[in-house]
Amino acid sequence: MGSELLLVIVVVVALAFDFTNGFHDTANAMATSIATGALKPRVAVAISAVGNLAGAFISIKVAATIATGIVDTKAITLTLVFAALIGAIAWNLITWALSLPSSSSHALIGGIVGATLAALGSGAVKGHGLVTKVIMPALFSPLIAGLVAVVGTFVAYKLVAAMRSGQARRGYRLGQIGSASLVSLAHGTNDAQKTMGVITLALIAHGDLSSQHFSVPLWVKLGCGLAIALGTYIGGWRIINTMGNRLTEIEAPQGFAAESSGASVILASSYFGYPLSTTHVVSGAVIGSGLGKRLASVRWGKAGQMAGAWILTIPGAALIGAGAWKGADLIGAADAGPVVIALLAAALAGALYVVTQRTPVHAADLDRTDSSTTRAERLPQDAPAGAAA
Amino acid sequence: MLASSLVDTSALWKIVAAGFAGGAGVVIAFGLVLLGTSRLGEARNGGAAARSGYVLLVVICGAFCVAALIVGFVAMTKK
Repeated sequence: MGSELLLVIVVVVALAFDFTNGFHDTANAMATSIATGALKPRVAVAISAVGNLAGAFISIKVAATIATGIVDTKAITLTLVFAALIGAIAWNLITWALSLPSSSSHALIGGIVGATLAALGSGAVKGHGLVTKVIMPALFSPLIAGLVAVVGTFVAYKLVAAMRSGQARRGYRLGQIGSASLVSLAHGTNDAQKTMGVITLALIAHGDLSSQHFSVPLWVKLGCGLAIALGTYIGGWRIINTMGNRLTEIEAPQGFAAESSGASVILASSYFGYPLSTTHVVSGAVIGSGLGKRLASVRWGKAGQMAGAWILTIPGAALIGAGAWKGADLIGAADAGPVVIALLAAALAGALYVVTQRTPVHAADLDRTDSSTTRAERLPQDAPAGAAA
Repeated sequence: MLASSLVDTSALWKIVAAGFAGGAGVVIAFGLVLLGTSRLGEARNGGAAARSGYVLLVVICGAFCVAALIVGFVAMTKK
């Protein structure tokens, strides 16, 4: 049990995490559509925001799993949930500042693991579950999506060769709008529900809801749907630039192949009960689309940086989550700890935002709909491996 | 032994199969829709048999794409 003020703080921080999840993951659905000029950046993020909002209302099974299936609700306290969210938000913001796509889901899991370790010790963390449900899928998912995208892209270019190029480009750009919208919807059903699960967990921990008769209040659904949609609409342009322009040069057939491959692997894994990170799947598919068109057209340096961020996500978020719990515990005095930590985190987030504005990336920088030469080409680029060939 | 206890290989293979059917399958089917549409436009003055063939190609491949989309929506509501 905790005070009303602490519950309010947890809900606000959870919605803040949902917001960061939105702008951090916009790239998953829309980076390739923006990179190929299928959609204007602002239109792309608006479509993705609507998809995420709609997706939040499709089902509550992911929310139920988060709220009642992973941790013992009796052992959870509001301070622990708060610290876990601080870890996840901090990792999302750090990777956003570095323009690196990384999994918001893994950041949340890392935050929960870290805060739980700090609060309850190693016995409270289900290590086997962490490996089988999080780490192993993280290894396999980009490979599967990449392989599917390689095959799809290779065949797509064989078909493109038999068509007039303008017609093929227009057709695949149209297809990209559909496939990217599907990824947005799938992202909403998955990621908005995760935050619903966290808030519901907090309400159970506070004694407002029963874990025996699970339900998600409408205000929680609406709040989470709107927070992730707003975050998505804000647009994480730095990460969109990395995913769409700095991993490989993407043309419309590649974009369509990457999004379709990503969507099918995400949905298939959800259906068969294999939890995957949308970011890992789509990143793998984008790399696969680069390989499928022409081997060695992938910028492996950037891909390596992303893989490094993926490996560090769980331990990094866990470390921050554990630090947040310890900090709140040391300050103590009921709600004072979380209040001080929340204010400190908000100040650090503000400082990080100011620092990132020294090298800003805006929607206009990424617009490729008007001409083939855009400001995106003047943004920092990495040389592709074998570029001279 | 260790690997099999850490990885649900049955689910993994199902995902690989569904990923290829849905992902690569849709990309190929959509490409054939575009190719059929393109050839249909070029064959306006050609034989009826060729036009019918392209129409059939577009309809079958288009239906595959729509069916994949519906399966995707259903999968979404089941998770």
